[in-house]
Amino acid sequence: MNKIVICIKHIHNIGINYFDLYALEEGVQLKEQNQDNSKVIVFTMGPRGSESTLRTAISKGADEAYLLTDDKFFKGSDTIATSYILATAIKLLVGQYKIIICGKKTYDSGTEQVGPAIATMLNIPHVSYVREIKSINQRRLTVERVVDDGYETIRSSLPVLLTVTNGVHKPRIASIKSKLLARKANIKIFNAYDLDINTSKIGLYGSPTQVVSLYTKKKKLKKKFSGSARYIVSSFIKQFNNSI
Amino acid sequence: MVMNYMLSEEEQLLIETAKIVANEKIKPVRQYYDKNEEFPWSIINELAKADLCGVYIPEAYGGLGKGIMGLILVVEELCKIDAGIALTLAATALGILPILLFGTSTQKKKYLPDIAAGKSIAAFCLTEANAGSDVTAINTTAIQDGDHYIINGNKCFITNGGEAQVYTVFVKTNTDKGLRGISCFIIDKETQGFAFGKKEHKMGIRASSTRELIFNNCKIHKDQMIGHIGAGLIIAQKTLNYSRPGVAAQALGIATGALYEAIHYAKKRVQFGKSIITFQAIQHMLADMATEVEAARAFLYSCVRMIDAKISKRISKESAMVKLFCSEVAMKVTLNAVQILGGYGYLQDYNVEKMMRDAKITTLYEGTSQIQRNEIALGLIKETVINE
Repeated sequence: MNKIVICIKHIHNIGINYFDLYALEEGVQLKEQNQDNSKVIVFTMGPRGSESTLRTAISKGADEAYLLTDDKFFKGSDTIATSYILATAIKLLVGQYKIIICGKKTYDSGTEQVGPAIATMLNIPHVSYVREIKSINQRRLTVERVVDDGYETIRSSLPVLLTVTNGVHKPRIASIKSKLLARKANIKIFNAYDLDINTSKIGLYGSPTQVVSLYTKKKKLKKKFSGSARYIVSSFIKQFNNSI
Repeated sequence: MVMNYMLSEEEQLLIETAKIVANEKIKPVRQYYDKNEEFPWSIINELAKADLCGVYIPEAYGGLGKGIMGLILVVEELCKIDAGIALTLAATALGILPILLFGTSTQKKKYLPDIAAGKSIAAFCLTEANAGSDVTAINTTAIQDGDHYIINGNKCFITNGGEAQVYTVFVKTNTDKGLRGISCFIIDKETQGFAFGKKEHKMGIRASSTRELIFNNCKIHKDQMIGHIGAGLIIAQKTLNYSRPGVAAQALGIATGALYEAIHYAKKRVQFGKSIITFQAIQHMLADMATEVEAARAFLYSCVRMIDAKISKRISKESAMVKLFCSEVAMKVTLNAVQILGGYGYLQDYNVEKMMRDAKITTLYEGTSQIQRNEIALGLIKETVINE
């Protein structure tokens, strides 16, 4: 059986991370194209509330879902620690896999690091910013990735990790029946103990970087200019010069 | 829009799904289909993929079994964005209801699963050139010939005509028996002797197809009859009792969509140095529109809950009332939405122009507002007879 692993993130008050929808769609399309009983397995690391995002993934075609959650040991994990938890879980719970797909970045922190870090820890190649899987067989695949001024075609051996952008396959709309089934689906939950993970490498203490504070940028006071065009322009320039 | 009707989780799921399809799939193409009068098959495919085609069909036949409530919630949500496209779904419900309500289990097994899966759509065929509100005036005949009936005549203004695979057709099986001489047949699109005539060009709901049907020695097996011979009029009346809330839901959806457009425009539009929503004249119009829309919704939902609960066989008065009320509200609200948008509202670039055109049909089809009033009055008279 070919196992397709998708790593997704639940964002508070929003749900599934935008680019992860494309990762999932690419994985589900791979499964549907290859009629060889492939399986799409989704992972997320996060608080218990992330379960709803896994159910969204199931309603859009995922077969199995794992929630990695641990209030004590996982909290405060940075990108390296998060990648370590995901890589450990994939190794332990999936074993052999054909491909791992992640969104190119998250909507909240947007570091773009977790995907490539998982690949490094699992010692497999990775291709980032993929917009389309052009072809795939048992040993290798060809993908098209987005670069600054065009597209690059890359061939890689398998298994491989891809991070995908909002590519050619638009995420599907979940049907009502699949949503009803997803509500009843079994979500497998694992904590640090279940994963037998080295706790010195995770959580706040295991994270080389730590978020010290988080704040919303305050908007500077907007000034309104009115009057004749000449007056508006001259007073704007005066204001602009004063402010820099 | 924040009023809570205590809908079940599953009902909310229907609304949520319909909303996604409406916004992602219908919104980008609604002007195209309206302008080109093209039948929206690609959208029906999307509705089918999302399981929205069979919400009212029992689970045993591949549907979701959510009753008329399920149907109206989906229709309302779709009509907030486009009533013309949503009509394909509502008219299919109307077309298939005679089978759902009166069909044999063989007929149900044959037709309902494909409708539920969105593989086929249906049409209800009653109206003729000289038989609109007066059903008894129909001229299409079915003459028995052994195990078959031979059908001759024309039907007009048939929604989904030419596109539907399944037609429930009302014909005279006995021209001398008046009200009891009407029977209903299921006719498949490919049947020999069945053809399509003129396609109508309409003021609104232009994505929907409205066509003439022509029966010329069309031979139908007697097994295709719904109910017994002469039961056609009762089948038509009962079907309409169940389907009129669907028209009310279209009207409610259109009105809600127009209200939304009007509020957003009024917030953005600046005149005399202020956004026009700060003017009391506009505020009062919006307040009345919102109140009427909410009253329409409360009436529709409670009426449909009653219908689905099957606590009463007499639903024709309530079904007529809710259709009358919601469609009149839709016309008023869309007129006022255009008024609030002013000159812009009269342009095709702004959605309220289309909503106003689309709203009008809800006061006309499945019985005009005047016919609804007749129905309501008849109900009042009958009720008081029973009570006295």
